[in-house]
Amino acid sequence: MLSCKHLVEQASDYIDDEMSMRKRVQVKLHLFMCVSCRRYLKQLKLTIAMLHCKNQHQAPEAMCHHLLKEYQKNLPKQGS
Amino acid sequence: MNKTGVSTEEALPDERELTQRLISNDQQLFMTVVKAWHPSLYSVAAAIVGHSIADEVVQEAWVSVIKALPKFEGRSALKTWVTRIVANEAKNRYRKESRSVSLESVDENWATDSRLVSDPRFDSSGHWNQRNPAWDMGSPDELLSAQELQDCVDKHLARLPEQQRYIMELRDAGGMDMEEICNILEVSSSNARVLLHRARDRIQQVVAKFQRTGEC
Repeated sequence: MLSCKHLVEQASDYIDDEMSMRKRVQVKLHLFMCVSCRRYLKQLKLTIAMLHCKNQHQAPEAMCHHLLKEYQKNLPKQGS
Repeated sequence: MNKTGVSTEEALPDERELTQRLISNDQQLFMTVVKAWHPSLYSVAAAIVGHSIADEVVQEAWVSVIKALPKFEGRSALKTWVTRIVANEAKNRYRKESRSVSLESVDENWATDSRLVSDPRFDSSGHWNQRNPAWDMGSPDELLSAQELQDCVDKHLARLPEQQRYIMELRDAGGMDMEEICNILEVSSSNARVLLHRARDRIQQVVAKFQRTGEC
């Protein structure tokens, strides 16, 4: 049977759906019986979601202004 | 635009209409796209050249996109195409800045050592030494609002080996698919997956320790 350590090592493949059906069944069976691994998986998903939300860097105003000017210069209105 | 004035991808028209309107000088839509895609494009640039010049790289890439847009053939999604241009611009800048480690010299052995063999979380038979405790903070928002925790995460993100951090930023912050990441960083798919998991696992442990002890 899959050990907790092996499950932890393969957790990203499980979350990203990058494992064979056979392995997936083994993981599901293990998760059914192991609260610590269920928690680990939930925590890893939460960590990934946090990292995704963390880096929502917004476009600087000066950059938007510069790009709009470039856009107007290079892509004139059709028909003009 | 949403309530906070930030453009979101959900507000964009479908692929065909989007391309057509951008080529036809829809300035408002162009600005919406620039703002909506910036977080992920920035992550791609930052993963390759670092945060200090990432905005500049994205800006330069957009200038190339604007010039090439009328010739866009639609072989891939527009965002994939723009992301690739940002990644190429970042790689060119990276080479020009002549950093000490080149993208071509990624040490593939990083992914094949046996760090996890002596993982103190597990006993010799691979079971948890102690039951893994549940976290008090159960949502990304709760985690993000704990400033001390975020400072701690930032500290540990900066300490990750460069390649692990790049891959995690591209994948989890930038939302890029793994094939694209492997092309950009020139690493094999199996190594990229190992490096990605190491980085995620490391940050999970940082958050877990903070939840357990309140310490970084």
